[in-house]
Amino acid sequence: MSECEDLLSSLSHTLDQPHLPPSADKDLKQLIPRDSGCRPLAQALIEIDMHLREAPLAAPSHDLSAAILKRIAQQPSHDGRLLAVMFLLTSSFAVVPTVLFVIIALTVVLIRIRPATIQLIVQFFLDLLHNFYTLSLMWNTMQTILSPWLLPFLLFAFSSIFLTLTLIVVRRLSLQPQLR
Amino acid sequence: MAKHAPDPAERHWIAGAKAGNQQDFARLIQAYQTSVYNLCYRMLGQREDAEDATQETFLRAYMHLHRYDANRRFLNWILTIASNLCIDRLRKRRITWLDLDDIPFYESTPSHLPSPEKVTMQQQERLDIQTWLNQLPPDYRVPLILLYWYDFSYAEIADTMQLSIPAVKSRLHRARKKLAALMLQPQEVAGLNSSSPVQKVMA
Repeated sequence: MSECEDLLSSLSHTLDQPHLPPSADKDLKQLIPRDSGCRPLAQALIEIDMHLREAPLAAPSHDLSAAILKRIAQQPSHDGRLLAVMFLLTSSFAVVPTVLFVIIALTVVLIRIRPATIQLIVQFFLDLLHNFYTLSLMWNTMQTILSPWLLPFLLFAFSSIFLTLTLIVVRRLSLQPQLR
Repeated sequence: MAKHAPDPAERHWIAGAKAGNQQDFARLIQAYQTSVYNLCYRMLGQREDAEDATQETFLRAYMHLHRYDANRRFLNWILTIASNLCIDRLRKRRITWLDLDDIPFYESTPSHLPSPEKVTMQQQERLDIQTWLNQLPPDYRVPLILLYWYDFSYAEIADTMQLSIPAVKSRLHRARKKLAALMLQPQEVAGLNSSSPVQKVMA
């Protein structure tokens, strides 16, 4: 550490002391060697300390507390959030049958009005199924190589994570206070 | 870690607020809004931003009141929330900080400045303090603010910032040194001139 850095470090340590008397700044300035190369910086360090000690607390506007309470009141209620979470969970389970229903309905309509289009779509899904079949073969090979328990383990892990996250959300919501 | 249990009245307000009593939470706001606002103002440098950050701080405190450790001083806890919030906001602003280590400092002290009206000068100094604070990296501002405006000890700053005491000492020293170097810069460097060739990303 250089001589200048030593001096600055020592000054900084002294300035950190709580309840330093106002005269301390003057005393400290006199301690800086006159021929020191870092005299300007050391003096500035002391002056900065003085300015910081004199700086007042910034006061907020008078209506701040009312604004805070208003903002809190605007938060959705705890019951409302619980309801929203339950709705999302339920709707995520309802998505699969809804999508299936829409697909079946569309197929029935298309068979009646555009049989050629339905043929193309069926071909597309057959190709897709074929690809899935290939993927499943690959998956089976991987399972054989790795472990027969891999698939059940992954299923269990994903279900556990999903359940844990749901419980965390529900617990957090139930712990938040309701202002009366 | 600094542990200062809250006084009985404060404990009563916290318990009441946890149970959902609006008046108790309003008392907590009343007691701590100036402290929180001052920290946000010193960190963000703008009144509107500081008011918004203060509101957000109390909102977060309200949402996470169940996590508050009753053995800890409430002021430290709420200032931790406020400082983290302000640091996040400053990071989102994507400001480039001055690397003062690379700038040769001006070879005269501000004490040689001509002395205008004393009040005007004091106002100017305060303004300068805020201008200089605005140029410090957020992680350096917090310990300085906690030391000078809140008289926090090293241990309390460490508790609020989740840092070790040597890290706090180091940041305080470096922050003060950088402010001193800024003070010695000619005005055009000390002012936030974004086109200045000396402006670099803080190391």
